Amino acid sequence: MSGVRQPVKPRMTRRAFLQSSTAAGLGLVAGCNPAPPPGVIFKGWVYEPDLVRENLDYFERQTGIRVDYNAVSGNYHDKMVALHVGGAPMECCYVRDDDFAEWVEAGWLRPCDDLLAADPDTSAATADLFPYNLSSMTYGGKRYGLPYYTDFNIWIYNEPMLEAAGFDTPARTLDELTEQAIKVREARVRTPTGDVIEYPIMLNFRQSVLGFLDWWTLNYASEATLFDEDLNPTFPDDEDRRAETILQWLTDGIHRHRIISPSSLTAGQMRDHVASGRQVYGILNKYDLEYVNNRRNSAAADDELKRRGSDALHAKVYRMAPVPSISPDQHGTLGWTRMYCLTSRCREDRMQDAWALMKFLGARDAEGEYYTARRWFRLRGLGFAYRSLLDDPDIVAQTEQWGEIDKVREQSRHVRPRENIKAPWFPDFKIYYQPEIQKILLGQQSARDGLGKIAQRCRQLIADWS
Amino acid sequence: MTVLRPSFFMSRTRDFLPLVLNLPAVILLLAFIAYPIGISFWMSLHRYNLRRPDQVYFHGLENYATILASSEFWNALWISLYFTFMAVLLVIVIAMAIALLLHESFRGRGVVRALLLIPWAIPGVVNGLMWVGLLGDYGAFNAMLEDTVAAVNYLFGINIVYTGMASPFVALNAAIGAHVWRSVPFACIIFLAAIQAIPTEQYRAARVDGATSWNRFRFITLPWLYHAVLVVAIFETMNGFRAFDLIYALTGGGPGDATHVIAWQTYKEAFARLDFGGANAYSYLITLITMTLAIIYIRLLYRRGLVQG
Amino acid sequence: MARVRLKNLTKHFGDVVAVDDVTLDIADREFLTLLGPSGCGKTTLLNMIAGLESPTAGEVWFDDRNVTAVPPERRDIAMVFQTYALYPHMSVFDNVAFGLKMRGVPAEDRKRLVLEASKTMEIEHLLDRKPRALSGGQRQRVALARAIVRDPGVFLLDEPLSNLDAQLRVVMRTELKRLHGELEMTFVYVTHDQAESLILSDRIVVMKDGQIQQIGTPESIYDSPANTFVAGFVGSPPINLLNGTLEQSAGGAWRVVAEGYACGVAASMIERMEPPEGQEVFLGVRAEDIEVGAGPTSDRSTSEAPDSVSDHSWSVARASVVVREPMGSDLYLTVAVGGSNVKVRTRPDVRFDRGDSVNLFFDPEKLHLFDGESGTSLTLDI
Repeated sequence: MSGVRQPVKPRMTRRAFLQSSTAAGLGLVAGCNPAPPPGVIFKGWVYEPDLVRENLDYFERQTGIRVDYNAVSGNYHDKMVALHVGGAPMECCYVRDDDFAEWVEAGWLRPCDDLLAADPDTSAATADLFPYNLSSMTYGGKRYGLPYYTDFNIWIYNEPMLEAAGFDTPARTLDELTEQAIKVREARVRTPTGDVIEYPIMLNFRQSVLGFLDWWTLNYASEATLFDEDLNPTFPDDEDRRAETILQWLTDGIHRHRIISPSSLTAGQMRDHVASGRQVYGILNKYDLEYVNNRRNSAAADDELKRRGSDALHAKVYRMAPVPSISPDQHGTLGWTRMYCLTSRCREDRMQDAWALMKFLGARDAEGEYYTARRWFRLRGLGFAYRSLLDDPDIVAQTEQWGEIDKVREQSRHVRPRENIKAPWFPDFKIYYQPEIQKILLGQQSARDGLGKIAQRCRQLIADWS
Repeated sequence: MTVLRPSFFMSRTRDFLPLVLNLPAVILLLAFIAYPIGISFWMSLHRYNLRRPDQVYFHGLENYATILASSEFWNALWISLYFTFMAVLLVIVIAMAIALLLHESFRGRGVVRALLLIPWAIPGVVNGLMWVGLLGDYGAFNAMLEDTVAAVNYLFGINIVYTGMASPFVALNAAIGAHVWRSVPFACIIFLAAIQAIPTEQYRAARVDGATSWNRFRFITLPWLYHAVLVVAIFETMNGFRAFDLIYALTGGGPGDATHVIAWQTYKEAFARLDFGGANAYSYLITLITMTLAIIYIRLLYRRGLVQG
Repeated sequence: MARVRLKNLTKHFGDVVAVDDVTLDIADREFLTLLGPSGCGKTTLLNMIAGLESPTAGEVWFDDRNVTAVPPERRDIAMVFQTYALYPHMSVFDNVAFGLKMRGVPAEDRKRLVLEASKTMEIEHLLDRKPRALSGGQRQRVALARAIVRDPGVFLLDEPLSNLDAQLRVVMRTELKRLHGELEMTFVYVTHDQAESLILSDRIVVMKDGQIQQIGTPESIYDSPANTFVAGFVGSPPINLLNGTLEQSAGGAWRVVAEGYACGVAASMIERMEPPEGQEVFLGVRAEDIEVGAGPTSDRSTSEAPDSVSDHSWSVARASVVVREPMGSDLYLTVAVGGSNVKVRTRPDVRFDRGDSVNLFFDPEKLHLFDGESGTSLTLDI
């Protein structure tokens, strides 16, 4: 007799449990690494993802190519950095001109010169591009992108309010603007809700990932040249010291004349502020002009239309004017480009499909139309990079509903991108100059000193990066 | 004979089994805590900028030297120290007062205690956005502050211009206020627990000895709370130095560089400048500073707080 | 001078009446004990004297001052607590000095007074230590030192010896008595330990359910308890209480009769009462007032009683020993009488053991008679 049998059964059960749970765990882990989706992987930031999807569906119907599209929510730049560093599969994506140089340098984008060379149609479209757009999509002599949309800043003024204050036309120079704005303030014009407007001018000087576009706009309006060909800073002693003059004008506007709202330093989205009719003058993206003149968004437009007793959707309450400059013969404004680029991880077997997608979105579709560009303009008023579209009858007609095509054409001739946007040190510069400019606007340092510091930092950055 | 084999296995299993069962937890700890900390330090010793992926090389303490020589670091440090100091002070004082209040019994005390926990449950970004709403141009608090400034101007015949969140002073202190509001519940719970542990006879003896309520607080309550204060101080110091999501949502680092706390600076290094070597160096500097402060607190308060018996 | 007068002091906690209309006059420099079981209201009463509880009704007077509304900080009292309540983060010196510091006594005077008090309580060598480094007895001394250092008019003690072990308790009891003699303060002492109260007090106040049962010197409380409660509470072992009926025999002698025993009552005692025939009574007799002798060897019936009242050694009944408890200098026998047990104290050399039948003889001069319903004493002069 072997005596009492050991209770072997429970032990086996425990071991079996451990084994099976380990197997299950491993299985789960394996299951977590799915094969990449079959279509073209395409990522962009969150702007009207439903409309984007509609465009992509149209593309899929036209070409039969499947697109796996993801709108990346939150901070697009930071998320894309993480995705690229992490090696996520991606064929093409949106790129902002701000980040363009950085991403090329990091090795995340793939030039498309070879694909262009093999594609005469799209190459031909290149000639139709505005020069500043083309240069924004080229780096180190290589072409990387096709345009998503482009636009520039415009100066707007509220026509009824200006009339109520006794003026027919908006001021042309900065000094005239000062006088005019003071008088407008003293005339105590009112918002649609009946409040008196304390500060006729409001600009966007909140620190953000985009930087102070309004600052560049004002500088370019006065035809200032901030950097030379080698991207050395010319300020604070640029030609006629225009940069300094403009900053001084801004500071005086806030503190001395009280015509520019101090909240310019903290307010974000301008278009809602404009649409609610709380300012008389401002700087807007051109495509936001549609927004602020559309009664569905704009209390000011709605007010005006009710006053006229009209059922129309748009009222030209806000009108474009040349951006005020130091002297009346100067013209200019800031423009930017958003593009589609192929990533360096684009899979070889998807290359042609991805290129087809890019062509559809950034140039002509299978029927030779600038389908996507026109659609964006029609639905949201987004600007386009192709000059010929300025004469397109549909586009002209639509523009006239909420803007003036002549002024758009006129302004388009004077658009400049940021001069140092392709410097490898541009992101460092972007972080540094924003607080410094704010300090000038707060009166914590003089314009000259602030510009001096920024210039100093630029020179240091150039040295670091060479 | 046959009995020998199973028991031999049993003893082996007994030795291995604890090891095996602990292994998953150990792996997780190593993978998600030890490894990132180690790699982070390793990276901080390299020049590693994503924009120059081919130029990654060992740099020694060069990153640290660069940071310590930069004015931005010292500015950020100064702001963080001010932020943290004010936050810790305000949290301790306010939470202590509330805890003393909640120690008394009154009607609805349970409800008040529950309500107290709500700020703690709110995520940092939501907190920031909420305060943006309150302090922005059209916010209720902004209007109140504006009216207060106007009243002060009127009463004292001075002329302070109120610019709300566009003023560096207001922005920084508003950020501190939002941060304190969120941190008070945690501190309050710790203080309340400590206060409830004080035997009531201490107070009776003190009253008989002639101590007024202020004296009773100073000589009886407070010494019993030294440990609790220590815990709260350390936590809030760490939190103060780590304040980021609030700044991101509320002020975006501005106006000027008024709210450029050190966590913000680190973020900028990492994501805007893509300088991962520098960003990791920043993180380690923050760690060192926080550790130093924690040691100072412990030296100050630990011995004084020993109250067994 | 600190004479304490309590007038109709009452305390309600919600529906519970903790102290019920207590009026008490405590003489200056008296050692008065509040004695009673837990929940009787003695601590609440003490707290009201201290000012830590405010009365629902009634007044507290110190000498000629109505201090009912005065907070404890401003009454001239000192208090020692059951748990000593020493301040754990202060040294012994600071603990003792605390009260003086709170009253603004300057540092040199503080030092002098603390050293004096420490000397009295023999804790000079402990002044630098923290409370956690002291034993229970030492902490008790420190608590006492803290209390006496301010030379208060009234010294309140709330069961200060309960947390000490038995031997230390005995030592400290003596200490307290000595202290009272030396310091000449009014002591108000709360305890549930009747032995303590008998040893320490000038007078005892026995309390139950918020009401005073009896006030008197230890001797009077012991020898002439006012009711069965007091009789049973004071004295160790507790007094033996037997049911019975009072009846008068043919010869005029009175006795208490019940099943299992009969006991004669001394005439002197009867003279002090107006006993109706047939009254139900409780007969109380203390263990030391009982003699035990050998059981009946004859058939003498237990209900027979001698007619002569001069015989002051009344036998009881046939009783049998249930438990024998030798306690060193005494021997306790628990004896079953009728339906009840009676505890007898006798000399250790008595030979009776379990199961033996014995006769018990109660000392008729030392009997206590209480009303069978209310328990009130029938012999005590009001």
